[in-house]
Amino acid sequence: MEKENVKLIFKESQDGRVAYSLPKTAIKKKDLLGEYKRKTPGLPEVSERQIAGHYQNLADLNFCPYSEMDPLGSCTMKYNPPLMEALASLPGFLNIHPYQNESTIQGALEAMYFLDLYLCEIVGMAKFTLQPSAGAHGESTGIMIGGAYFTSKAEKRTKILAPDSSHGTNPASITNLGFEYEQVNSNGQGWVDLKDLEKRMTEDVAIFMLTNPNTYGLFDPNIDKIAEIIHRKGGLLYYDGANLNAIMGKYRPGDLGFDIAHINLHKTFGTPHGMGGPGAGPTGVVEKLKDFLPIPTVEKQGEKYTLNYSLEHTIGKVKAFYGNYSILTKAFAYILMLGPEGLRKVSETAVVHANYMQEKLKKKGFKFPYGDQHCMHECVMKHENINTLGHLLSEYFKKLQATIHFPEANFYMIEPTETETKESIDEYIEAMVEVDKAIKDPIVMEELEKRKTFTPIRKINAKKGMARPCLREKED
Amino acid sequence: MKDNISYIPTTKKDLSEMLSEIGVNKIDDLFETIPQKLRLNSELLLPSPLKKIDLPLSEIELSGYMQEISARNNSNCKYFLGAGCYNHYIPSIVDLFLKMPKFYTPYTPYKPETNQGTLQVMYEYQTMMCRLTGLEVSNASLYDGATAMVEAGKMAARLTGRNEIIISKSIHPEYRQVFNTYFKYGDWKVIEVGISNGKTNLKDLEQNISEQTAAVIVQSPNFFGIIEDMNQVARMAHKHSSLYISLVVEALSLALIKPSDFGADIVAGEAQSFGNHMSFGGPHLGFINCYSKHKSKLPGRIVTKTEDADGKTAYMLWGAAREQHISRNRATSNICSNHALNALAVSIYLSWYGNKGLEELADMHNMQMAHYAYEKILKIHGYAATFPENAFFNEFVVNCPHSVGALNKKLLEHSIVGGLELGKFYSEYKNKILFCVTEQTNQDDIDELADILTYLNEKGLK
Repeated sequence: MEKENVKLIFKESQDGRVAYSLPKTAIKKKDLLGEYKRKTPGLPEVSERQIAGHYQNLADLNFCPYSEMDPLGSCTMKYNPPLMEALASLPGFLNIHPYQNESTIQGALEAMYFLDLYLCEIVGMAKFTLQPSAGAHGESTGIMIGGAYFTSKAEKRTKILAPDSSHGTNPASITNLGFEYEQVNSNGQGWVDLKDLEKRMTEDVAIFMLTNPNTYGLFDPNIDKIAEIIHRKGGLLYYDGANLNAIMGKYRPGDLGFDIAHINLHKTFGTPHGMGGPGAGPTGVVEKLKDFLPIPTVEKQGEKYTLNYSLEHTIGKVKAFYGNYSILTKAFAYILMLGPEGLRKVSETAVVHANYMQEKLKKKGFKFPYGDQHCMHECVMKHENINTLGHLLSEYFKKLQATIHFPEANFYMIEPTETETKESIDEYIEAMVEVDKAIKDPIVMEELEKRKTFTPIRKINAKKGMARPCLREKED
Repeated sequence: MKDNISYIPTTKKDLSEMLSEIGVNKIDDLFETIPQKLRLNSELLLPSPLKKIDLPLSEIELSGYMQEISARNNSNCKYFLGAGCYNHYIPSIVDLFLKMPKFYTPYTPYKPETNQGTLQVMYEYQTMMCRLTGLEVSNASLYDGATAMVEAGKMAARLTGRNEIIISKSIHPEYRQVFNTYFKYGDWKVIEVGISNGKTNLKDLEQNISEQTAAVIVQSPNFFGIIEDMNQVARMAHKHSSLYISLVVEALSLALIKPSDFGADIVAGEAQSFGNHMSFGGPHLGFINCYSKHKSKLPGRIVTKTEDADGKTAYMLWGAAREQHISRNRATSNICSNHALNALAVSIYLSWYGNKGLEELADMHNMQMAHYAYEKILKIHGYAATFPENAFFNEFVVNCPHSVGALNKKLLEHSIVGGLELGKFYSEYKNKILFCVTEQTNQDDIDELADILTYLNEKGLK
């Protein structure tokens, strides 16, 4: 057996090999750094052919949503259309500098202006900042906006609430900005426990952060009561847009009483995840909070687009420049391509697919603790042996594992998305059935283990990896 | 007309089969948990940016429109503008791999068995960054340099148990703005120390540093391109057991200057220069490198090399206990999505240049060429050194005989994007211009710029 899949690029290095080429220069070289000049850094010395081979071979080790359905609940992994990449890669977008004269970036600003407008309409907000680079970054931005709002009103509010089922980023965003985090319990149906919320919602509380549909994939029907409880005490309601893929054109968080909302463009609007990023987390606010947004915002004056730096209460900036521009362009193009009816159908189809998955799996004997309700765009199954189930799906069926142990231990959160065919959903279900049989029957398992494996490694030795970290390759 | 919406494969037949399996009659039955009064009863209103075509657009229409607006941007220029976003050449092989679905589309590599490619890319990226900065541990990317500075500041506070941070005014103004935005929340004290002849005022630093100081953050090369007295900064910081965070915004300088040689405890910054397009300011990528003893407080993903069940070399994410999905409110940061794809660009770019290429690029085509431009411009009547007698990398500041805005407008007529008007960020530096020179502006381009500046000086801007 091979000891490694792909040799480290440093091991392919040979002195004297090069891939680069640079122009000749006629200027006379001077000694400008003297003793400050460093020693050679130990980068690989390889040919371009070797680089091509190396990265091709590494790519081949990855499973990806182009080859397989990626039903990763809570992180919508839909199809990423190549058209959007091609358009975002036009030289007029890729090769412009953020500080060039406004008259030379009118096209770039037009795209931002319309994206802002569209996002406002989709979630019912008054204005967006496109600066945040990710959902969590949007959360930080929203929390700072809320904080600045209460400071401007001379109210001291030190706490922020989030449900026990919230994404981990919610509590982390809260405490990393110096607010106190308080957890609100869920009731037995996966909804917010209104009594608990009422008890915790005091005048010390600035914000309640909520995603709806929540992380159980359920719509919380008490949303108007929740909004009423928060607003009665003068608080702000924050919409975590991770699950927006369920609701476009069906309802708008702003109409439900949400005051601040972030959107993960890399989930709902089809921009790729890129192995973990870059994404984009535009954050919108209602009218009364507009002046607190980071600067600059994009405005239209007559026929001209401009960057507006004069917002009276602006929190400042959350990122250098204006945001992850090429991601914004892709999301903008995606919205143009789908239009209002298309976006509604995206959400409707995503919800149909998830419910189909839930019902069919229920009939095959899988347990869905909340399965007496229709789910939204994702469903949560409970299984005693979830790690093994997820692993075997990948190893012997070339299926991507869904989200495990979230929002509770032993949960399996499945989100098929609207871009998968009924056939691929059925195939995934069949694989789950086979794996489940193997887990329950040692004879079936023995048969399974004779089959071809698809993963380039066997089960990782996580214990060793955690206990004995090796975080870089030392030089020989 | 087609029945189906692009990217949705579900046919009418599929739909009716699925609804019947679910046991409902129509789609809206699935949305019954949403109270009727809260539901939208009409389609969203999305006005078309095109006068004659409503949404949705077809692929042909969309391509046409996007090409049209991209052509309204002026990108076909010579850039003498840097200031935190650098116009470096990007080898074709970088962009090719960035578009490969197996790198472009996967999720964060939480499951190692199906993401070995991603994980090895990150491990190699970490190794290259550590070799460049001279430190021992690198995270696998953050959003950008400005947010990396914020995270590094918080990291230093956690490591020292102190809440005061000193930042130099020679740091990129937008980075300071981001830093000050974040540090308004919580119990912090941020002290900004001034500038003396284009560098951090060391006397000012000495007066402000104390046993309360968690970290001193100094950018080098700084916003004016000048290489700071890093040794002295480190000495002062260490005297008070504070950490010295060396901020690097022009990552290419790492090819010539290694921060660990000058006592940096943490190196944070922006690596856009390594293979990432300017892209109107993003996505770029932030990084933080540190010593191994500090790694438990380092935010962001980190990959470790380990083994699988059969003893085969394998890679996985390390230290999840630092991260939000495990530790929630006790996490070292809220970062989840990061800039992994940009880190792939860095790895391919650095492999392409190698040691020799990167040094040649940084030295001959950036630093030496910038000095050539500097000397050439100083010879033009009316231009003068703003911060004389300093070592600088690929950016420099000169006093300009015109209003910088008006000059840049003129340069644009020659397809030249001029330098940054420093007065935009520093009211005390009006009519000073920050020029940047990279391998994309060669000797001929510099000569042409100098000729135009000379001409404009003689004829005036009118």
